[in-house]
Amino acid sequence: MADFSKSDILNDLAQALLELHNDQRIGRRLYDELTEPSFFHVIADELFSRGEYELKALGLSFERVLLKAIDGSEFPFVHILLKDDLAQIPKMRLKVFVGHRFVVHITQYLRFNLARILDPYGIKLIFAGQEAASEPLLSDIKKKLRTADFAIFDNRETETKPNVYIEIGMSLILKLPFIVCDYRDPERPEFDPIPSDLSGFLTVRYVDYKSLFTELALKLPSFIYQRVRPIKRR
Amino acid sequence: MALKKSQYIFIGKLSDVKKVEKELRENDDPIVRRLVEEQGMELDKAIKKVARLLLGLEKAFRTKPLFPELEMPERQKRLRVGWVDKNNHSRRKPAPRKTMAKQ
Repeated sequence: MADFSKSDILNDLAQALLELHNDQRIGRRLYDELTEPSFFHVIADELFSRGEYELKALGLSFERVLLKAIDGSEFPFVHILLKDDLAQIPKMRLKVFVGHRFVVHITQYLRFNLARILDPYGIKLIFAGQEAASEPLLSDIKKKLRTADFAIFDNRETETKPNVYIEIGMSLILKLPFIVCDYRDPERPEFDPIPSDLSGFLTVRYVDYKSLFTELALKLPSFIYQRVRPIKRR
Repeated sequence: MALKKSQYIFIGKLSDVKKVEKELRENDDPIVRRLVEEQGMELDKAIKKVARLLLGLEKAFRTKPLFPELEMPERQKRLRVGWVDKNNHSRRKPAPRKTMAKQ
């Protein structure tokens, strides 16, 4: 039996709907109706017991995936997917470069979660230092960035090792579209790690992996259509 | 930060409401069943309500936010606003050169 309850799924659905509402993609009235127990709780029931809710005639599907928190514990994540995105994005055969601090817990869990979220779109993850080659790390990063279609960077725990900002700078020079996952430590709310030069770029601010992947899952298809596809087509 | 309504783009086509309603009816949908059994809602009304909510959610997912703060590739900018460069004659066949007849 999974070590999560139906309320975990309810919370996750609630967070996704709130995110849509904050983005003004759903109005107040629809938001209220969607969060009614008769609708909301039944979808959560289905996701809890069967792991999915799907109608063939509907362009959306709801899927429950298990992601990992920074301490390695599992939490359920409700992945709401548009079937058009599932049909179109895999055809692009995209590769994403993932840059982050090389510490065991981040390497393990961030990569695991990203792989789960990107898998339905057929997006392949690439990292620096994957192969045990004698090549210097910086030239390996450069090579990997050149083969990638876009990049995702995470600045968690990079205050003392800010390598990820060098990689962001390299992406800018290579004109590679990227998303910065901006970790905010709840214990130091006033600390802003993002350099002001990067303030205009797409950043996803987060306090835990649940908030990160909720926002990332919602923004990723738009980002691909607007930023990655035009470059891929050239 | 919330996006303004002018910062959206609608992608694809919304699903057919009749087909969704038909599937909800034929498949004994759990959401419809709950509305009928627990709230005493009429079956037709429950189907219509669930279809409307699901399509509302689908519409939200098809309404993709634009990221105007990002530098957009030049080609895409032109496509978005229907930009036509009237001064660009590069594709036009060059006019034949007028040559002086040999005398």
